[in-house]
Amino acid sequence: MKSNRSTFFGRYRALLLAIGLFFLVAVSIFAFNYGLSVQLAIDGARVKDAGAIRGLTQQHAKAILSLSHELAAGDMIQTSQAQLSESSLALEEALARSLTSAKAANVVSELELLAKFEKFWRPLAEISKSVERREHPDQVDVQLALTKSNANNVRLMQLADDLTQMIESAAAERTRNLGTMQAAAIALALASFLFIVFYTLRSLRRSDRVAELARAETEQIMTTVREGLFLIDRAGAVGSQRSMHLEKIFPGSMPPGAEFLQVLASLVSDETLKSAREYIGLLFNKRVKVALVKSLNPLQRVEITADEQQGKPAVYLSFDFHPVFSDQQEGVAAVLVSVVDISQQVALERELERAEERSRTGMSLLVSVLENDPRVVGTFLAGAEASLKEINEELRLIKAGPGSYNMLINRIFRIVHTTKGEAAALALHTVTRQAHLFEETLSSLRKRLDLRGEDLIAVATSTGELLEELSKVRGIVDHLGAYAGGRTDESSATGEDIHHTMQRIQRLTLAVAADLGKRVRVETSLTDMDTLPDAFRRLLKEGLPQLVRNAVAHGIESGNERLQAGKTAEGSVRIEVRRGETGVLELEVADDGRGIDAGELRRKLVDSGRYQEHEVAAMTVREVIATIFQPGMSTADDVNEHAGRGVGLDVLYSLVRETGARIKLVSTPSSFTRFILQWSPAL
Amino acid sequence: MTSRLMIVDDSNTIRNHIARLMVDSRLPGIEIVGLAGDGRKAVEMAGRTRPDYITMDLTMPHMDGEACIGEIAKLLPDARILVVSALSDKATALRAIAKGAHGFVHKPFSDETMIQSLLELMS
Amino acid sequence: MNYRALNPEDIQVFSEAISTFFERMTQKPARVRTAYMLDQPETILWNDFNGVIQVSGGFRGAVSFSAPQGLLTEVLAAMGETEQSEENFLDVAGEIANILSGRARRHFGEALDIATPLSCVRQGAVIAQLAEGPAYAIPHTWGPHEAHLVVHLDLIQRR
Repeated sequence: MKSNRSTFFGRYRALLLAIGLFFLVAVSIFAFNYGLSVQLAIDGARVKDAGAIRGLTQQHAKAILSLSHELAAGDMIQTSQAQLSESSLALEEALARSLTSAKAANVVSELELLAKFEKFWRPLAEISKSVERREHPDQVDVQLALTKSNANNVRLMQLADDLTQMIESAAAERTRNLGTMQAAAIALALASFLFIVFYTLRSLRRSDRVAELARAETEQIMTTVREGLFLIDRAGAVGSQRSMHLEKIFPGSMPPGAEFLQVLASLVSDETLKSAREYIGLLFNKRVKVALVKSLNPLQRVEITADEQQGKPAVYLSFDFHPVFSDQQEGVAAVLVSVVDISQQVALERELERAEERSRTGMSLLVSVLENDPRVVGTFLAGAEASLKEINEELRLIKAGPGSYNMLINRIFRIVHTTKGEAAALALHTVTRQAHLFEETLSSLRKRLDLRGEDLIAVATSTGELLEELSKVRGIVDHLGAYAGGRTDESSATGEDIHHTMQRIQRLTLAVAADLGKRVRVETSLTDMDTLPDAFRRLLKEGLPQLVRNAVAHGIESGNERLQAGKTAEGSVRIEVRRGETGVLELEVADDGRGIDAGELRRKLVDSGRYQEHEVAAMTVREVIATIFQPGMSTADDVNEHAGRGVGLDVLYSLVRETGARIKLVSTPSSFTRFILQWSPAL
Repeated sequence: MTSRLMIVDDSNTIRNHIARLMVDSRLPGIEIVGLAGDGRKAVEMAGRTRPDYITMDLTMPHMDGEACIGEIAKLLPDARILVVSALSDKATALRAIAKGAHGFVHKPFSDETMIQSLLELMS
Repeated sequence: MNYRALNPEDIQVFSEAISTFFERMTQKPARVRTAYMLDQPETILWNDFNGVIQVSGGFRGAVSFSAPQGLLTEVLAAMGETEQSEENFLDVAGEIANILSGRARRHFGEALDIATPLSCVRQGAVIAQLAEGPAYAIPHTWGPHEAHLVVHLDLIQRR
């Protein structure tokens, strides 16, 4: 405060001095004016007195003259006497006034002049007195007075004129001087006024410029900062200044002056709101230490419930609160709130969790189990479960100590590794993956020599998770076993079986599509058939899964790709089993996907290094297409569960050969692909 | 001048443990004026013994710690209350501080932590 | 319903709480001996004194602490408690359950609904099975004694 005041005076000193000067000058101009008018009045009176003196000497002389004439003619003399007395009296008075004022003004030349006048006047006045009072004045006296008057009159008049002139010129001189001074004062006043105006304007402009600069800077910050920033005052109201980013990330509207908690109320759960109210209250509470509540922020990660649009991804915001202190107020004056949108971060975390979960429970499990002999899977499960139970028992009984912990970890590692190998051989990917994770946990523990009991917690939970995976597989195997149990004699497959197989395949198709993020519609068409020969049954069991996987993974495009190609987003896979007139059995799998592009295939053949460019160029389209049945050949660009490893169609090809069937392939690029397996009893 | 301390906890052993800690630590001028095993008793005892400092459990029968803090804060505005609880989530801590608590110690606590927290409470 | 499997960290939260209790209250650390899955589906209270918390609300199951009388006798002595009564044994078991419940709240979030800790006197009592997933036993050794932490929780997958 003190420093504020001193800088205030420092900054405005020149201005204050100018204003002071202006006032001083203005006051003195008034004083001058007043003095001047007073002086003018005085001077006027004196000039008047001097003029009166001159006139009265004339009057006096005239009165003496008429008196002498009247006396000589024997006329009445009273009037002349009265005039004489009157004029000499008035003259005395005027003379006395002039003398007083001359004395007051202390003008030597004037006093001298008046003294001279007195010298000539006094004798005349004496004689005139003796004449004016008598009823019958002496003729001689009158004559003497007249003579004296005539003698002195010119002189007196001259002196009176001189006096008048002297006073007048002195007055004129004074007026001139005062006028000059007044002009100077006015000029000075004007100058200081101009200075004030100029100075004020300049400092106003300067402070405007500074404010403008500051405003521009603030605005720059507020428009570019990647955080939502705003203030909450003690009443809980939102301030008017906020960063642009706030609008982008804050889903509700927050007009200046609105109560923050009320805005929040529609966006968060009641519990969060309650905690937020308490938290903000505590931030403003000067009794509560900031450090005590800082870590208790309930809005550090908050899900915003935007009810406007269903299906819109959830918004997560992170609010941070910083108390703002000010000089004017004791305690916290306001709270600066910074908001960051962490939706993406949260979504990413969720996506990871989901991906993990998908791979854990994954539909792919079903696929793997379907491809294996349930009995083989059953044997594997029994063995793996038994070893894990054994692990658990050893965990239960182990004696504390790094040595025994290490030995056990090594033993468990071997068991898990074997289990992983077996699961991989059976393509039980979920089990393989879980065993792999278990193996990784164990690997990091094996390297350590300071194992403690706590470290075994992860081993126990990993055992539990692996058992869980195994039990999922067991669930499927048991389910399939119930179905397999119904047809112990494979050759006597009934029409009912075919329908079941088709349902199973349909589920598989949808599962593969879901795994690859594609949308597929499956249609099946079966001609009623009572019995199926073993060979064709094998084609259905082993070949059909391969064909539908192939159709979904390679044939059907992604939804976007299909839309761009002018197709429906949903792909179609058609499975048909039919019996021809000659007893020929046909299995057809058709998809309306991208087809097989021979040109593309040629490029891949060269890129993969299997063929030289000239070799590929020499091949017919038929020959090029036939290469897809070669081992290790894949048209998929990336590797996933269902495609890209280059096994599949070569397995189909050997199956077809083993069963004595024939394979037909019809395809139009970007339109469709049809695989037809034909089995004829004649062959 | 002595500091008057009241200990509120529904566990006998914890209550006695804190009390013994105060005696053994020989903190100067601390006088234990009351031990209460539930919220209701704590409020009644606080009115009678007028403690300067209180250690307060939160999960207790007959009026939980939060309500108890509110009552005591009204009754004895100058008393300083240290929450000693196994509940360590944000919402609980916020509510307790809003009701008038001055500090927080999580169970289980070490002797040093308890003494340190009480000293901070008294400073 | 979709349940997330227990992470080792989820269990460690509880075993750490128990270790911390012994460390701070008795100045003598307890050590985790091992961890294993329980065959029995019920949460078994197999020791003299047991403190149990039951959990619901986005999670379900129970967490319990079981200790033999010998151990609790020594704990009371270490805490300076001279009165060796059944009431005080229960008090300690209950206090530990209380601490487990506090830790659970902080670790799993405030949506967790925890019933008031139960203190069960005698072994053999069975708590209704609340969770479907595996139950884990984590034996803690403290001096010559062994106490058990049993965690049997299902965590409902948040979406």
